Amino acid sequence: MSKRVVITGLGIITPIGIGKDIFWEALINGKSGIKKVKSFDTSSYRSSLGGEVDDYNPEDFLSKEEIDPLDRSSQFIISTTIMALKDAQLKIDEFESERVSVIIGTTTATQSSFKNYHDAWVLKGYDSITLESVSKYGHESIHNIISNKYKLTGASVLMLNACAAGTYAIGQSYDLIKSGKADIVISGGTDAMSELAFCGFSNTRSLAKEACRPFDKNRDGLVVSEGAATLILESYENAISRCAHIYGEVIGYGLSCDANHMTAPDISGEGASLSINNALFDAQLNIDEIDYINAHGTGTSLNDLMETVAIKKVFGKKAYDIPISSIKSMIGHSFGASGAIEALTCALVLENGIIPPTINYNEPDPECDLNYVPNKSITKDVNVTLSNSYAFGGNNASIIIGKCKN
Amino acid sequence: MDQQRVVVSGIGLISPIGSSTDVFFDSLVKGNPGIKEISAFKTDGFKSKLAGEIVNFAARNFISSKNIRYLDKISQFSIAAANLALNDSNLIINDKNYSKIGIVLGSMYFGLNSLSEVQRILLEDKEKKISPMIFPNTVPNSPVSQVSIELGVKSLCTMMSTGFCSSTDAIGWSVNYIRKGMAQAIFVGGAEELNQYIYGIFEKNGLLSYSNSHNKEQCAPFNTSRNGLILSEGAAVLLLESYNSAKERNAKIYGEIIGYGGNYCASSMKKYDYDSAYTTRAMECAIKDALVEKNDIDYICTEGNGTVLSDQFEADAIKHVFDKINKKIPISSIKSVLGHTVGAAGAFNVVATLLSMRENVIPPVLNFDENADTFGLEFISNKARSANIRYALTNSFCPWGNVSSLVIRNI
Repeated sequence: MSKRVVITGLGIITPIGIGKDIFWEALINGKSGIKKVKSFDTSSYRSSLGGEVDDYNPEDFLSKEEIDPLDRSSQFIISTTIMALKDAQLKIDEFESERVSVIIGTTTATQSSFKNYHDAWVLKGYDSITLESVSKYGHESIHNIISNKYKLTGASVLMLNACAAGTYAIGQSYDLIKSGKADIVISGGTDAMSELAFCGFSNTRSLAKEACRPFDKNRDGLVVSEGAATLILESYENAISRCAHIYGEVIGYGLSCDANHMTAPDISGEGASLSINNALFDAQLNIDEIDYINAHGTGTSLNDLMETVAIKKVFGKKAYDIPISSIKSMIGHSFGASGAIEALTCALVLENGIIPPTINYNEPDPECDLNYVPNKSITKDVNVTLSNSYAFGGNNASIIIGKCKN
Repeated sequence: MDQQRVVVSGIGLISPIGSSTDVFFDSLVKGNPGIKEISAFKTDGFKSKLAGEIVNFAARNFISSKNIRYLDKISQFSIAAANLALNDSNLIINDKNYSKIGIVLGSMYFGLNSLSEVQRILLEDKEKKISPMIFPNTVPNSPVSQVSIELGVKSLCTMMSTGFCSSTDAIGWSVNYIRKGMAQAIFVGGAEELNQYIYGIFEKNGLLSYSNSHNKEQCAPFNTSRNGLILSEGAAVLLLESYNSAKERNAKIYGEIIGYGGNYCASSMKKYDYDSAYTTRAMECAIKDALVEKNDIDYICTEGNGTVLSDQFEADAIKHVFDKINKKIPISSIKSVLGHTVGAAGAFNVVATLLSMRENVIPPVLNFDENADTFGLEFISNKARSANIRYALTNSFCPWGNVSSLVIRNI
């Protein structure tokens, strides 16, 4: 008998706020976290815009000894995990360590620590490199750090799916609990600001020059940002037995891949619609039951067109009735974190009955003619949400989160 | 809903000891190692000098992509191994099944050559001119995406990273995905490429074998003289398929993956700081998941990487798990011949085990001193041994805490 999987704890770091309450308040008020990038010189790039988290202080969450060996992405996800466990009122050491797993998604986390190792080798020679500095790259990786911190002995996995990694991680966590292999999974995604990613998107002419305007006629690219989110997933029985607050239930997820092009989406929408259909199939829901779509909506010309085509392909005429929004208009694209941040957003949409807007939306695009919740949030009782993530290499993931019914 | 049974219906590999299953297995059985002096980078400053390198890789013989010159080594290995697995399986990918076929690879370091190349440009080039054709190689999921494009498969497509366990876990997770009916078939395995940065990480961590007055630089699993592992590179890809699908198309079946266990057992972030209460868990879980008895296991293909601590922990864990059974299970490690392919090692273990089942022979652990203490276990030392294997266990132990096992059934 398969288990039901519920969400009982949320922790988040984004450019518009740290912690779910501040984040949510900013989100429904359409606040933007996009500014000029400060952490590196952007003069040789196509744009200077980014979404950096200015007010994050690791010492609010971790001791100095804990902070020192960690790169920023790791600091982020451990901090969001601390928040999420607290939010879930979960004393993790009261559970059998083998029944608690960790699954984290990321794109660039391993790269930022490699930079230090690489640069030290090139500038000062191999002999100058210490064991501590190589440890940061590769093996002292995020998932292991979390397992270690909380003395967990269930699965401990890093999912590498570029921009769909967070969604993949939550999907795999759901499978683990559903199939009875874990009772609790610490699940999420993280990515710190990466010059490498910034540079890569600049060179592929994907960076927005003035603002991230998903689905707008004048959209001209994405904004690179940073952040992390942790969701505590739990079997329904486990959550009920400890009288936990339940934000929502993960009902199903779907994966697919375009098998088309490394950097461009398949604008036929075939791959993206396949992942939505797989999620609907897994959740055993029909198209009438989706009340809100949290779009991938990066703000690039092709992605937003492709996503619109895919949604129409799956939902037909009904596509026009479903509110769709892209919170990347406010927080930018935090790659491996974005899927987790957006799943967390869906949980808060269910909880609060408010749908966050797509900001910077000025001029409708005749080719993107759905309801993108322009500029202002709307109030709506939402029972079931769908969140899409589309990644580099044509990787697609969709997840369905709904209100938890008894 | 009935769970699907999951079988292996195709194998493809690129390794320092052969790029066909026959040559690969022959090298293992005869004990012809693929370990030589490193040629791809200078080893000045390293105590260790050897690795299992793939030299003069003729990518064009295996890959049809027009963009072959932009692919880095790990993507080339991955695509080549996947193409070989596809050919071996006789599966025809068409518009009726492509949405039900996926690709999952495990790797610890992914495209580190490309990443270091780009990092060097960011460090040294003021204009930071990175070719848009090279940049994609730096994204960790590049190899699987390249494979999906080459094969035209559109189900799940992901890389997983759990250190040395990466491809064992990739196989375990893919088995579950097919079991629940979400895919008909998955190309699954592992890939790793060698370079100076990986070599540096391993040497700084004291994991590599080296020559000194007592020992030679060699991989000597479970031997008293062992003093480290030897790095290697390559890719191994299996076609995992639901039993029904394989049966329907009359496919050749190498074996069935019937059990998987994967967990974390480290007490700190230091290497091999294991809590020995949990080093047995992956084996226990895999055997339980497989619904077999410990007595049914006829062969164990170990992590056996030749480091002092890993071999000790693994031998102790095996003794503990099989404590109560009244037979000596033959145990081997393929790493003295192949070297350690890091994230791909688990997939190579599964390939070797499936071939052992087919050929009824277990490849030996080389460099084994016959008079050495054997932990009370039955190692296949120095010479291959014939054996009829019904069920086998394969292990992966990562220095930083991941431990994974699979149980395979001979069909």
